[in-house]
Amino acid sequence: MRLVVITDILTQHRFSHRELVQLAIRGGADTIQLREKHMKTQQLLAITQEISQWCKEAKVRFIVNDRVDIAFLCDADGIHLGQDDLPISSARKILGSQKTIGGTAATLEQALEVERQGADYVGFGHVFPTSSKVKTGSPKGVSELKRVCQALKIPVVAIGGIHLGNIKSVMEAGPGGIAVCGAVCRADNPEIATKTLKDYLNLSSQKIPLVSKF
Amino acid sequence: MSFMEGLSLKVKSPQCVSSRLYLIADTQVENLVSKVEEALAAGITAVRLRDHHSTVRETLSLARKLRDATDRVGAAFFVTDRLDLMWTTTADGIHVPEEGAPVKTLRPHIPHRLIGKSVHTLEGAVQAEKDGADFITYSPIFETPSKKGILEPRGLNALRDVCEVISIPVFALGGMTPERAKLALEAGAYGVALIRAVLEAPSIRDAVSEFRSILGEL
Repeated sequence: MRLVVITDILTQHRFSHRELVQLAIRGGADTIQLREKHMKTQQLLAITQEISQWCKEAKVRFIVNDRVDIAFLCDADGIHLGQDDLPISSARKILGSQKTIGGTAATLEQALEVERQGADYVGFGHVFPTSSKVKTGSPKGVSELKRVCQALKIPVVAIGGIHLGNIKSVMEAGPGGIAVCGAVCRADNPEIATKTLKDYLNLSSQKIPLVSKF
Repeated sequence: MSFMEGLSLKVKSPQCVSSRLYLIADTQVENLVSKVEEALAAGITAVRLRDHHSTVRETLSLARKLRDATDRVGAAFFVTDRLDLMWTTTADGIHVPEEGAPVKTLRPHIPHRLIGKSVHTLEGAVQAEKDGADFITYSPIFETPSKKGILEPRGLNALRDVCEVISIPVFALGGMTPERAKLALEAGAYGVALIRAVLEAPSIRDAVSEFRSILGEL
């Protein structure tokens, strides 16, 4: 089971992206996803080039949010695209078949569409209430998550308000991975928070096979 | 290779070679697409989309409309800042803002596209040329609503300095009028970049014609 840690500097100001990445890597995150919507390209590229290098050295997957140009230029492992971002097909043309492309979905229909467009995984949520970003509609819940996981051939990454207290119910729905933002970025100690989540996933997911591109 | 030779190789239409008017299609202008189409019909041969507030999906949709409009008349099309939008819309080049990706990072990835760079200082102009930009816009030459309170007008003397020091084409930008365009060319500018002087003119056709006659175009 994959643990995706999303770095966010909008809902907390104690840590920078770089600091969060280092803490999450030390804590054992499988994937780092950089969420940054306001930074100018020059600065964003400088940060992502550095993080991309760290992730390569640590053998951690690095995914950039939204910006296909940045993912290309910093040689990230992949891109995560929201519904308002560049279409998945355009991203695929730019990044090629080796890179991981994920798409956000808030409904089963969207999830199927993301799969149809050629994504490697779907980020589905928000599963629970969250304060980490502007949300589409009400929380989808674990039963809807389960429906999506069963309907799709590509892995589903559950996202939105997931923490140690509800992770068990999420995993029972059968996702290929779990993405957390607040549970790590806003934890007292992001490294320990990452490690605790990762340990839990390791202990309880031995039956779930890892899928190659996620 | 000169800018003009470069353009004739990189851009589809030879008409672009004569382009000394660089139209900045800024999304703050209302009815942008139809106004740009009018400007293209009047002889504008290079258009750059500058989008401040949209989502990428919205920018992409707008960029595709402008790509189609420029294609119809064989004009060059540039996106701002985003390499992914450039590729996706098959734009002829990218215009890199002051805080965009370094030109030297972009250059090796796009040897056959054009790179324009926004510059506000002499040092920036020298760096842009060194990094491999095909051309720059230097601004603001005169006072302009776009940069009012943000950047002081550079004036014609500073423009002259920039044009003397670098050899890639310099487009003078900021507060342009036909009279000022003449002064900018006399100061050594290759051409002028225009927003409101064209897109908010009472007659876009007349405005473009006036600039073209000053710039000695057909």
